[in-house]
Amino acid sequence: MEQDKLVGLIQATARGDEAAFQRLYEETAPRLFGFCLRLLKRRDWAEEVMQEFYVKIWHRASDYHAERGAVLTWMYTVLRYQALDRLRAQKPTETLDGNGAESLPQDGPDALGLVLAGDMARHLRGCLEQLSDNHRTSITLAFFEGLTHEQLTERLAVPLGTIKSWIRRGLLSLRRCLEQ
Amino acid sequence: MNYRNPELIERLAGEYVLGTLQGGARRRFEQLMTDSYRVRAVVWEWETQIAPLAAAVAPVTPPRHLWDNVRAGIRPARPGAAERWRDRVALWRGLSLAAGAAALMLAVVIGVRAPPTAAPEYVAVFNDEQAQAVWLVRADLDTGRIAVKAINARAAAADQAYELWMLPGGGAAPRSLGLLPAGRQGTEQTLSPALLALLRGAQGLAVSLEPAGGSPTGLPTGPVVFQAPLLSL
Repeated sequence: MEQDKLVGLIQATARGDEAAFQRLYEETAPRLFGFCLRLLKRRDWAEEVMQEFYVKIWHRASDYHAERGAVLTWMYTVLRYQALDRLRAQKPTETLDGNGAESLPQDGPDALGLVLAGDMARHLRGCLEQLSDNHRTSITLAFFEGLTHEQLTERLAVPLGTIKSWIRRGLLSLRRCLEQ
Repeated sequence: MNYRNPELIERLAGEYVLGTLQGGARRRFEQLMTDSYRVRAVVWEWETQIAPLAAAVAPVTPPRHLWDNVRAGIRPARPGAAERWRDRVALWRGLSLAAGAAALMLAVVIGVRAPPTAAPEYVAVFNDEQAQAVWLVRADLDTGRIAVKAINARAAAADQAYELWMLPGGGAAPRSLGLLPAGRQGTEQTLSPALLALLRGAQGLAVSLEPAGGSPTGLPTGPVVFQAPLLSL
């Protein structure tokens, strides 16, 4: 659905239009649910976070403004923060690695099971591809798996200082590339 | 840590958006976001650039009950909330016009949205000399979320900015709520629990004219151009 239509639906939602909110849900939920599942792995958590997220969107639709990007971009952002909060609130024994995980990607930049094509902005994809493998892997693992620095050190078997440096430098390179 | 370093802000914002900023560093950065519109804008820029990555994940149709639960979660419906708000503002405008037209007026209206379980909310409307609304401030006293919307507000001069302040009770020093947007823009932020507690007992809001980017000191340095006490209806 085009951005203009989504903006119309968000604005109508902000005015309390339930029919518009339902259309907004129908247009956005599959993409957001796929992403939510990817982050949380567990379907029960993903469903709970999705429900809380959409209720929040209903109440906070008026928060959306143009500086937050496209409507869907803003929704991905809000959902991601919410999912991360949920991930970080769990006890360590309940997360990831075998406890109801839908699938566990292997390490390495190409084995993350992503389709680096289609909707993704060409510029962003090009900038990601320009990163070194280490920078790209650590950033995409943080983004798609919600891993903390500590979890990244375990996953990639390198020291904490190395992880922090990869993230820092990766973000810097990404930023410079995106600004061009 | 020198928060005036733009490169540091860029880096922290990137890590915040990515999710790798944790613990005390994250809390301090969130406080910075609360205090500074400029920092929030840096975060938004990272968000808009990084979030499109999410589109690389294949869609998954959610189960039907998910929508049913969402719909149940937004009930009871809030019919007429917008109209009720307008009624309150219309009533306030009738009161305010008597108070003099030279300065922009501010009134803070305490209202409770029906139904009874809804959160208490402050609403403040800045009006210009023609009693036209220029800024609307809404604060949710439960969550500490504050939304400011500009409605055809004129921008300050290029080297200046309008900054919003909360005046706590008991004569305590004003606390910044960030810069006011211009045109038809809006901002939103979440207050820390400490600031929210102050807001609940606040005397009112005020606007000062500051250098671009806001007060460098954390207190108003320029003239306070708008101010008003709390009204309750």
